[in-house]
Amino acid sequence: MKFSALDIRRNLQLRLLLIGSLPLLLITALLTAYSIHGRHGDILRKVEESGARMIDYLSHTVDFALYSSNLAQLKAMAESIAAVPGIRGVIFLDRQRRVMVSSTAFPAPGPDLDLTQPLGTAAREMRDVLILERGVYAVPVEVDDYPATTAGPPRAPLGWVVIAMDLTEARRAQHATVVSSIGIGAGVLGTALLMALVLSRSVVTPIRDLTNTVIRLRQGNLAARARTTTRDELAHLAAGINHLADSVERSQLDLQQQVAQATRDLSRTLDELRAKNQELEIAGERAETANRAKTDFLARMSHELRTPLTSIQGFVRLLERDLQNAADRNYCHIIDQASVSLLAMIDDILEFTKLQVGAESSRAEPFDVLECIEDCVRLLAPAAHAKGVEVYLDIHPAVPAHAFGHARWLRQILANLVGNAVKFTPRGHVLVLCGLGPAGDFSITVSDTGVGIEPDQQQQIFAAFVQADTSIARRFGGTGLGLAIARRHVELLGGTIELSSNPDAGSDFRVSLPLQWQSAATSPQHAGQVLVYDTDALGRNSARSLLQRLFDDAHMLATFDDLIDAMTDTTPAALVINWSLGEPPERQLMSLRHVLEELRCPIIVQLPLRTLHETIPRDLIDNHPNVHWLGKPAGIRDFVAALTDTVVRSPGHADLSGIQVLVAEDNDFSRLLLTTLLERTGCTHRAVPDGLGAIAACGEQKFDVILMDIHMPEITGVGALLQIQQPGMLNAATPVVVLTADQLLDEGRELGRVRVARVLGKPYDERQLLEALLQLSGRTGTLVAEWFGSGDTMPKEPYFDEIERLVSRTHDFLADADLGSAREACHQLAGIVAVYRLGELEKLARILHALVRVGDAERASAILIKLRQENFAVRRRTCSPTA
Amino acid sequence: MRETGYSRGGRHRLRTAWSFLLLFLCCGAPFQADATVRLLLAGDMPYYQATADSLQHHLRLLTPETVVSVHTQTGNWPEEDILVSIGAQALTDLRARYPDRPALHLFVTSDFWREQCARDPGLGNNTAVALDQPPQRLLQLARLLMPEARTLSAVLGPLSRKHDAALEGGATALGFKPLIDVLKPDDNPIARLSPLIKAAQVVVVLPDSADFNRAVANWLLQLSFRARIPVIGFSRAYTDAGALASVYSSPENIGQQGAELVTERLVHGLFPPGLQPPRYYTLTTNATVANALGIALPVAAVLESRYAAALREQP
Repeated sequence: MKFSALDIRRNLQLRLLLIGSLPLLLITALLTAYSIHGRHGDILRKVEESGARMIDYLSHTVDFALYSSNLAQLKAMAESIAAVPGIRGVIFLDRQRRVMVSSTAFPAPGPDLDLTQPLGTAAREMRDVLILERGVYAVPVEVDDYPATTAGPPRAPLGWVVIAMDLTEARRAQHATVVSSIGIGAGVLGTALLMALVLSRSVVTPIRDLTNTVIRLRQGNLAARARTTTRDELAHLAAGINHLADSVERSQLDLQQQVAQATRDLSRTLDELRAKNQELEIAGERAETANRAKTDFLARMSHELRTPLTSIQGFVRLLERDLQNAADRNYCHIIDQASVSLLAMIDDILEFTKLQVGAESSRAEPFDVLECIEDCVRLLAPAAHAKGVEVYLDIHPAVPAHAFGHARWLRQILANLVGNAVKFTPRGHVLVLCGLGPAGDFSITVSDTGVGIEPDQQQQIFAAFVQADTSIARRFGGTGLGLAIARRHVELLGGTIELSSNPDAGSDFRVSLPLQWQSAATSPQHAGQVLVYDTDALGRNSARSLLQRLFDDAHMLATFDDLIDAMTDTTPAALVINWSLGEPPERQLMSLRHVLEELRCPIIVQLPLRTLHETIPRDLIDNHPNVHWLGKPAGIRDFVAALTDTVVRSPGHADLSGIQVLVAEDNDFSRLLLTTLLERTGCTHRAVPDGLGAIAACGEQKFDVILMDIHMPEITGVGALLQIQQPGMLNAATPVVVLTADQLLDEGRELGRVRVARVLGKPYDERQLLEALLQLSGRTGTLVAEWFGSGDTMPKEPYFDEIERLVSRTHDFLADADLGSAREACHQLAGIVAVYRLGELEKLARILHALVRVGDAERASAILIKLRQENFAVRRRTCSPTA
Repeated sequence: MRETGYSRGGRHRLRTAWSFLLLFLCCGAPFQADATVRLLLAGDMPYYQATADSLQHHLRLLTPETVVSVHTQTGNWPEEDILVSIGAQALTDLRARYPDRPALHLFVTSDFWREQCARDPGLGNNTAVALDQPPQRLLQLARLLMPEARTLSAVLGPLSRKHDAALEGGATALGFKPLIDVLKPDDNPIARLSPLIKAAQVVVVLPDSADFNRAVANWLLQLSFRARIPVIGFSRAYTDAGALASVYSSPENIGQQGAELVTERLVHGLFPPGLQPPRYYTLTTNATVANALGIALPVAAVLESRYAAALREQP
């Protein structure tokens, strides 16, 4: 703490000095002033007394001369008196105050000295003179020895005598008095101040020593002690402080010792903890390494499994198309279904793996809720219908059509739940009920009439790889990952999922998701009445919910007789017939023919697709253009299209002609493969070999879809997209389909920085690619079979040349220890070899890719040799004239 | 200044006392031995007390058995008591209380007595002793001290102007050429006095009213001092103020005469009626003035003796 010398609030000595000196200063000033005033008065009084004595004498002595008007005598007296030191002059006045005689030096009468008026007995100070006046009376002489009365006052003066006392000397004396008084006062004050300073210092110095000691103690200097040079109260205080400091120092010493001991104990504990942490870190690293290895293994295995499965599916479908025998086609169909199931399992495993490692990414975006749900349910419906299980989709009319959220995760949740329900329901139905919760959340309930789940197994049903019991796995198959994936997606969306189930009675899965709704519920678009004929109550409810979005009045009919009556009574705007699975197809077909004869309004027939293909005669379809055939469960888009399209047509093929597609692919062969496929579908395309080319092309032309490879030289696909999608750019909103050979880890995080509509792994599935193009371009319809198999038309020689070139480049980069470039070349190689699914060659390429990614150049070089040998062998087999 | 208390009056006093005693023994007249002499003083002024003391002193010499009681207020005094007032106020108080009883009144001027007798005719049956000395005694003193002087001036006032003729006659009888002037209140004293004093060789002043005495004395003394002319005054104070000499009645003189009159009353049962002239006097001289004027004064006893002789020889 610093003491300010002039801060009176913080300077005790200054305060004491002021306390002692201020009264002294005041007293000294007052005494000096009083002394000066008094001495001035004394000086003036002396002059006045001297003058009074003189004038009294004169007034008593000049009575006779004045009474007798003896001017000569008066003049002589005036001059003689005026010669006295200190007297300026004398003047005598008669009874009428006329000047009789005046000394020469008497001040001239003026406005301030009016001798015509009595001046009074008091002295009058005027300029540098003091004027005194006395009346001159005849002095009574008492000559009676026994006076009966004493002499009274004189009745009238004989005249007046005025004397002027010179004040020059008095003034000088007064000035000297001021100087001397002030000098004395200053001397006294200075002496007193000096004494006060000395005394205050004697008081303050011990206090300041004590204060400094306390400050040092407060700052932690416990060795500080107060000095005791006196034996007064301050000495007692100092002794007390020193005693207190001793106690504190001892206490702190004890405390330090205890802290030191505790610190040593803590340090020892920390060392132990550190050692344990190191062990834990090592264990964690090992676990992470193992987990990573597991993930890699799963990914690799998934990929390895998908490759042959794709081949199996392709060949089986070709074989099924070419076979004439129904039994053989059935076998092929079974094989196809098995491969589809196997592929679904593999996809589940892959999806779960992504979720586990956090590679799963999705972006929140506006999406069509109805379309998302309807598409998902409709995809799974054929499988249910094949088992005779009815599928109902009931979306409450209050559910808005659009929302902002993660459509892909919602689709996967539904796919897993509905797929699960279809899978574990051998008969009965599956009901998907959608609505709004109390808080506006989107609620989905998937109910089935399946096998149900035992209560003790309901707790763990959402765990991975868990099914109700092993018998279920044997009976229904599957990985047991579906519900785990669904729950994970629900959690990612911030929602909840609940289960209620009774064994042999079915299960209810209730999902609640917080969606950001983009629009209110739709209002009916068509006036008039629509008739709905469905013998199934659930089917009628589903139809009512859907048609309430389109019509003012939806009239439900449960029996055919009701339908006939309604047709007789009213002229409906449209008729919807739900073809129940429980009804014999022949009977329903007969009823339909009957209706067709009566009605000319639009008729929409919902029926399983398999029934459509197998049961409905061709002529019925061709001859009744007002009948729209929709697969169950039909979506609202299908209803709208059917009601607005009066031309009856068969389910048509998709049309991709005229779609503007940008292909950005650095690998020449891959680029050639893509452009060949696009040409076959009628798309208009533009191909660029790198990201810079993509940026340039997007600056010149508006595209409908962009196909973007990620790994490209100069600038990656993500880098190019960052520039292309900048606000205001021409193709900022153009949907992007990313093609990548590494969709697990690295690119997943990179892709989060840009807007991507689809991500397709290399080797990409042509169907998925074309479906993506179809959806992203806003076209509808089914894909044309002739579009596929582009690889068959490709020349093989450039393919093997490209493989050889990439193998050589990888070798060179490894030799130069340029792992980055080697990794890029391997990436392209893996994509190329996957095009034709060339077994060992593809396997070696993937191993090489993995080794280069981890930097194992030695083993990668060995694989490169094998890869080159395998490429040569395959090329010889494939391209030989006999092959 | 020198005072001669024993002048002619001192010896005359002893002689008178013995004569009264012899008179008492020879006549065998009834003596009011049980009568008390009641002295009523006009105030506590010392000259009243001195007069009372003198009266008691001389009365003890004459009639030692006589009881004297001194009072400042009147009381219920018996008929046989002898009443004596000292001072003008005592006279009026005594007359107011006992208007029908005879009394002796001391310390009153002749002017006052006459004034009171004019107001109270019964007062004439009482007896009084005049305080002021007769003008003849002042003229006699002037002649004694200034035997060579030929002119004598006198200034008279409103009261003393009645002595104009007596003064002029007395002065002439003593060989002076009298120059007498009477001053009025509005006269300039200096203007009236200056020619009188310049023409005179000695100035005599008679008592008048107190104011007149005071007003004139100052200028008279100064003018006479300047003119080196001696002044003969009528009081000791005049001598003190600058007069050469004065003749006056002192309390001793009055008390003595009062004691003699009381003795007469005791012996004869009566006071002599009317105003009695003062039997005794006192002379006083101012040696300083005499020296200043170059006048050789005789020693007091010689002066008193010569003065008494001159009075005896006076017609």
